Amino acid sequence: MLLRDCIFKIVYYYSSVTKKSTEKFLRSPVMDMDFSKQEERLRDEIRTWLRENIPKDRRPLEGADVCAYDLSWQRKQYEGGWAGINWPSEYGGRGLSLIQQLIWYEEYANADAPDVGICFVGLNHGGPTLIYRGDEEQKGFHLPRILNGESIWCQGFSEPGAGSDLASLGTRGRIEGDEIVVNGHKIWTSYAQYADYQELLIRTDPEASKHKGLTWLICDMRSSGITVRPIRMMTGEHDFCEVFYEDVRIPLRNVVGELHDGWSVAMSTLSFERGTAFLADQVRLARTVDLLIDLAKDTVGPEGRRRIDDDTIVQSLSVLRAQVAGLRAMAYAGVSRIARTGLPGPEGSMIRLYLAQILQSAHQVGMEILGSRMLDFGYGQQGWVFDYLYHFASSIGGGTSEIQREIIGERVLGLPRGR
Amino acid sequence: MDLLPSSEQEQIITMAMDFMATEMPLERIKNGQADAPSSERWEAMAELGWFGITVHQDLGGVGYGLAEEALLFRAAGRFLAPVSTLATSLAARLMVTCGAEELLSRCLKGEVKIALAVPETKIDNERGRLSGRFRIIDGRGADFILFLSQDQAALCDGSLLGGCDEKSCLDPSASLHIIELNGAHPDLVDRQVASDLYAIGMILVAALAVGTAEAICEMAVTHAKDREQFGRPIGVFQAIKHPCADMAMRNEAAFSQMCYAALALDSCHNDAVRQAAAARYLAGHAGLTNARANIQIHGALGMTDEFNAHLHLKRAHLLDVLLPVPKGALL
Ligand SMILES: Cc1cc2nc3c(=O)[nH]c(=O)nc-3n(C[C@H](O)[C@H](O)[C@H](O)COP(=O)(O)OP(=O)(O)OC[C@H]3O[C@@H](n4cnc5c(N)ncnc54)[C@H](O)[C@@H]3O)c2cc1C
Repeated sequence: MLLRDCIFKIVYYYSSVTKKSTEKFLRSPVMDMDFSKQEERLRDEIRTWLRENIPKDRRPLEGADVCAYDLSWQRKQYEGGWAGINWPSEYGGRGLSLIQQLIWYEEYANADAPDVGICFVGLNHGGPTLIYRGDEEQKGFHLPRILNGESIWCQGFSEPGAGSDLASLGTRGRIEGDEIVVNGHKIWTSYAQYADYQELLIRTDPEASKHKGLTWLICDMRSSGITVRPIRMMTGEHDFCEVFYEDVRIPLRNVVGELHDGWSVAMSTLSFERGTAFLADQVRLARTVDLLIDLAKDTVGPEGRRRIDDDTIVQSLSVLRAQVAGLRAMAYAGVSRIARTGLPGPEGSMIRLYLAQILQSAHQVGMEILGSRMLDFGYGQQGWVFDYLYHFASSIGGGTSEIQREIIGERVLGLPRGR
Repeated sequence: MDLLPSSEQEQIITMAMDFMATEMPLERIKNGQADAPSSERWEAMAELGWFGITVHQDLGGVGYGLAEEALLFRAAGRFLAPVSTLATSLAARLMVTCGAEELLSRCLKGEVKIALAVPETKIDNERGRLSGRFRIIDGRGADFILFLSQDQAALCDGSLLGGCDEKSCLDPSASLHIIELNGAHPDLVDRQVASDLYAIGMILVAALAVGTAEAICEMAVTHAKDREQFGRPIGVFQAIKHPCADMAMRNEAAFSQMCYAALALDSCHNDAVRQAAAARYLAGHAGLTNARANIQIHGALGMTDEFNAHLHLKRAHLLDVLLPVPKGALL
């Protein structure tokens, strides 16, 4: 039979022969949805640890309470050996592989563990940038403090005149002796009101071209000349702020990477972000849709029927379920791709775009299910309406959906650049 | 855990694409119709192992898994492969479970061609007999017709179509008959496997749809790079570029989900049917949505019968009605 001129059978034949005879073949990647025994053991370990350690009370919304809450949760993870799961172990992280991180986030979401909150920038931007581009002194001082929940970081990139076009930023840095004197204005800086340090991107060489004259600095948020004005969002909370700089003096040794080379330093975090920083959201979304289905079962509509018995709601929920499954499969494929090639590619933008769409449509369905109940909302009141309002951010923050489409169009599909 | 094709699977994809490109290119569809595959061509596909790719080797099949089969149908879907290829592969499984060995061996040799029945309403199958009104896809020259729902898998003789005129079909690559049955006797029936077979069918329809959705995206991107207006390639304009990006995103989700669902079903995961339904939905949606956007991207050219964009749109509509996601299957 094997001699028959049939192509699949020949492929199969050769592969079964090579499978048996060479070790190498066994190690080349094979499509497989299962996790290894070792990975399943890690899953059990994570599940047990989370069950025993996650905070029982709800995360407060703002003020000193939220800082205390987030930092103590971070400290607990640090003590348990789960801080910086994605950081290399030589810097005190857990050094998990991408697939292991995926497992962590899946368990994290299933356990309803709290949002990473004010620790996000330190763990996912500031810290990793220092790891890639910082000097020994910078790493030695800051990395342990980020991991153990001692210091809070924020990201000062966007400005009133520089959003999507980040490289057009105008906050100036003048070099005077061994200091940089900063003047300017940042905006949308999440948690600036609580932060100890800021990753600050400024223009140090106004003569150079747009991308060339920038510098990435560690800014101590308690320096004199800094004014922070929290901005209220439509949810009622004050997640982000405006930050004003008036002759703020920052020592030159706080420059990360080379002077005027800030763009490449900033971009090193970006590829990190494309890789994994949003795995958590993807995984959490599946949980959100489950809760939405519960909500539809528990909510009675104006005709006296449960919302889950309404065909249009059933259709919307079914589509969401399918999309969430697709998003997860896409994340798995993305992780597989990075595991094979070693670096995150522009494909991550497809996941970001899809995630934003599904998050928003899920919360729109939530509003539909609630019907007139959605009106019962006051500023800062957590729940479906709050989340609905908040998730307008998912297609804006960290690169808008339009910019993600630009990246997909140009870097995945090879369409000509327009800008 | 790895959700990308292995090098071995890549070989299957390449071979299927090569076969389709030489034996069944889109050019076979001319003047609003296509001939059913000749018996030589059908036998050539059987020679490749097409209809028994997941049938156990002891029974004369290839012994691959559903993921390989899905990759095969995705490649075939780019060329709008006849629906009879899908029906025949599904029916081969039914022959296995019914122990119809002789028929199976003829099927694996490429001696039988099978059409797919699309019920107009719910399939009525009282005491194993079939009643109702059906659209039969690729019935021209078919030896059998597969009737598949979540609770009934049946194979009837192609002679049911005797005396029934062929109608023209929206998708010119397919042939269409409409029949009214009143207690027809199937040759093979298996109610036990129906729901599994339906889930497998959803994945294979998804695979055909992913193939067509991907081909559409490539077509759109190629045009966006080549066509110039206002002195620049139209792909520079975001109103063109962004829909292309959306196509790529939908394809990535549908393709990944197709792979995941195929693996889940093969390893009997407890939510495998739901995963299959998700793949079916996402791929069907990608096919239709991409096909519509593609026509707009091509301007007037996209509306012509001479250019292939309409073939993909019509195919996407055909796929949309094949083995649809049962109500509530995703909840
Ligand atoms: C909740 C939240 C938290 C944030 N936290 C931080 C933070 O901590 N630190 C920080 O530095 N920044 C932060 N940001 C800012 C964020 O990075 C910017 O909002 C984002 O980069 C977009 O910039 P913009 O808001 O100025 O919008 P703009 O760039 O002005 O965009 C306005 C609209 O124009 C579209 N647009 C712009 N350029 C193009 C183009 N080339 N093609 C097509 N459409 C285009 C956009 O997609 C958008 O729809 C945060 C934002 C949010 C919502």
